[in-house]
Amino acid sequence: MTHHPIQLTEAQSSQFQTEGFLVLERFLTQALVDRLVDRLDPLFATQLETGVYPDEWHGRPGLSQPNATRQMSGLWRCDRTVASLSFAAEIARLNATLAGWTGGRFAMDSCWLKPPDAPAVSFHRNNTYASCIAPSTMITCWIALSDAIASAGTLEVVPGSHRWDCTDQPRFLHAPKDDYRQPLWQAAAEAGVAQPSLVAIELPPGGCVFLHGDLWHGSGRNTTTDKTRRSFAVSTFPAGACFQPPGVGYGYIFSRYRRMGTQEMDESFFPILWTPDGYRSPLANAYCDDALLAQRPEAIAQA
Amino acid sequence: MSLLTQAQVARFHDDGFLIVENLLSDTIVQQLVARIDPLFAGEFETGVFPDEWYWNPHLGLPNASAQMSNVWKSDRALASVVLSAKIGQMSAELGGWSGSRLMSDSLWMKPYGASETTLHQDSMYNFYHTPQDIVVCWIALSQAIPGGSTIEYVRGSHRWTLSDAVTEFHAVNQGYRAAMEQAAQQVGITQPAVSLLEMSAGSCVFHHGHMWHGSNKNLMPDTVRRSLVVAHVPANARFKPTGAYVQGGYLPGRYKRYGDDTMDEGFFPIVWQQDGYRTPFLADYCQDALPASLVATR
Repeated sequence: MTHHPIQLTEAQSSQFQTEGFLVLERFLTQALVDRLVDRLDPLFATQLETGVYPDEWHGRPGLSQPNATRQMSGLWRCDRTVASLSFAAEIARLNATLAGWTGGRFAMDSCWLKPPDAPAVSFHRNNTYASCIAPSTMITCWIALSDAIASAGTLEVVPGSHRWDCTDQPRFLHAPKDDYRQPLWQAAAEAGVAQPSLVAIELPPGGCVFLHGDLWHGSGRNTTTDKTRRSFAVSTFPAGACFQPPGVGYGYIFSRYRRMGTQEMDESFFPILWTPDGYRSPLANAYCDDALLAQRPEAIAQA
Repeated sequence: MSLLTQAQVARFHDDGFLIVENLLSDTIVQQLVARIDPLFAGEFETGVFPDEWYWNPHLGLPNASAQMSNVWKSDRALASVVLSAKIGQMSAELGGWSGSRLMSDSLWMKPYGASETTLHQDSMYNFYHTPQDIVVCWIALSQAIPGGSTIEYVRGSHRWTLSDAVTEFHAVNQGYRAAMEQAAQQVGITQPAVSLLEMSAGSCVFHHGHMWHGSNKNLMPDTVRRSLVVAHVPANARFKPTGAYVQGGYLPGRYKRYGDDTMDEGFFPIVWQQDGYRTPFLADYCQDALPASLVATR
């Protein structure tokens, strides 16, 4: 099928620059959402299509509290249906274009399933976890796979907070003992912002929000008794990103893939997914289809 | 100089395992144990996450088994044992190799009430490299005793046919020995004898990759069973040729570069080789906690 890229308007790009986020109410078709959701229960039940394990896995069944948030990162390694979205050139193009980059390299994917009564997620900046990368910046496309509503613990963002002059530090994000917004209050005080405004991002399944890497965001407890909040996020580095020198920055799940004697980010682990001249890393083309090449805009409009 | 006698090596090949007493001093054991709670709470000394991290105090059930893999990337105290040349040399002598390459490590914490670990063969999960050998060193970081979820073996089972992978060994839906018993039946053994090991903290046991092993629940109140597992493959191991990914690649498969069968030394370092070679970055990364010397076995 023909690829029909989404054309962002100047107003949308400007809003992203000013606010640090941009909402698209319609991004994935319901059929694609369903296809992804169908893959999630098997994955969290250790039925991994490729037999390769994810980069991060919290809330594993049998070891975790029943209401624990289930989270995986690096799902593309486990399942090629999921990878077809993680490696979609369109997402890398949109992320990179909003950032003003001339190419996008895969950074990470992440799935969050918050069952009823799932705990809050601490406020943070995504770039805090990319400090071992030069430049230490990524853009994230956060996609709702269920109705993302405030009562179910949807994403909360603080418009404009990507421009705050403040610090953040890596922390374990799940189920903080203190107020999950405490890191935000501390950052606001540091930035001299007296009363930061919070916006709950409410989206239908298939809608998405693009997040600047320095935007403060988090999410509250799922207070519903019958709704599981599902989301899937794909983050992008600039195509030319490399590692910082050894010992610089927080390694998180990225520094594992640093090769000896080079600061290069190997395309087998961080494939280039979109460039204006059409180049994509060979792995990305060999490993899976591109889910969004088969998605027509008229299908999205009906979503 | 060999660390193991011919008799020790022969016993390993007969039984499928070999106990080595007092591999780690009490001081080293205490240093490692002090790192375990912070690690599971997400305090990683190097800032790098381990390759697996199952259980944390925020989301985990209080009495669940906790496990991490490749903790050597996250903490240099653990790395100083995991990457030691001595353990690598003993693996090589038992495997009949000219050198050892680290495949992975695994850190376990099983508090009172922690569930069984299904009996399995490590080779089930490590079949994508050639030569396909693997030798595993299981180090007790607490006293290993029957009833306290000690490691258990089926003597001689390393000579059985390699079975299909056991898919879930943290939370079992059937008896934790069921898969092993099924494999035993296939080789005509109706009542396989299971050996439950007793070892002091700091002692270890090497086992063959095909060896059936696992552990029962921890049934002893107020105890936590702790262990550190180090898996080696031959230094000359490579990935078998594959397409775009390593089917069944578990953790090592993540590190195969597209179109390249090399097991990159940055991810799979050579810890000991007969000619004295060691992957260069190890010298800068951490100390080697273990002196090279002969060992006592039983």
